[in-house]
Amino acid sequence: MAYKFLVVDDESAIRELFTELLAKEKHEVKSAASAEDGWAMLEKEDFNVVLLDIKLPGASGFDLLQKIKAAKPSSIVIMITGFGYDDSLINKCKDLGCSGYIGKNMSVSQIMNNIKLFINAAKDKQIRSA
Amino acid sequence: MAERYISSDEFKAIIHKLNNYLFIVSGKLEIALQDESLGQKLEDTLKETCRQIEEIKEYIDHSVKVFLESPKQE
Repeated sequence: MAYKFLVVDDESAIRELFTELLAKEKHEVKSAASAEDGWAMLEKEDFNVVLLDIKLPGASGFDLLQKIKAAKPSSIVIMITGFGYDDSLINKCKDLGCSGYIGKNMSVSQIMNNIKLFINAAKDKQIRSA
Repeated sequence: MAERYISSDEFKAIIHKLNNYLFIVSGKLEIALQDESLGQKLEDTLKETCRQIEEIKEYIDHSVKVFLESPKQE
């Protein structure tokens, strides 16, 4: 199934890479370089999934996650970080309601598989709570 | 030689940056490997490069584990 993704990451090479990887799987992808730009895009159009880097210039990924969940609690938001070892970060992501967490220390295929798993789990949860 | 220390935040920022670079390189290699017109020699080289990147990632993961398990200093 094809989804519409929004990738929010301040590194252009990471945005381009996710765009290429997800487009290869027939998904539609748009991207933003900051939490502020990401929020502006989310206000204008609907996305099925947001891939959100934690460490961003200005407002953080956590700030944007909170804002998204407050506006639309059923949103699927997957957090990404380059330092994927910190339990307190992972717990904070979960507490704020993200659908999953990926670290860039994982292999690319692992990351792509996890994204699919998190989306399916979030969809199942939405069906159960409907 | 006198010992020098870096803070946890500096260490995390370095690892964050390294993982970013490795993620970009390995992602590009993975995409290149899906190209069916690659010659066998180039395909072998890319696969070997991917394997080496995975080794670097494992080494980084191990180093982070050692760091996280080391005693904290004020």
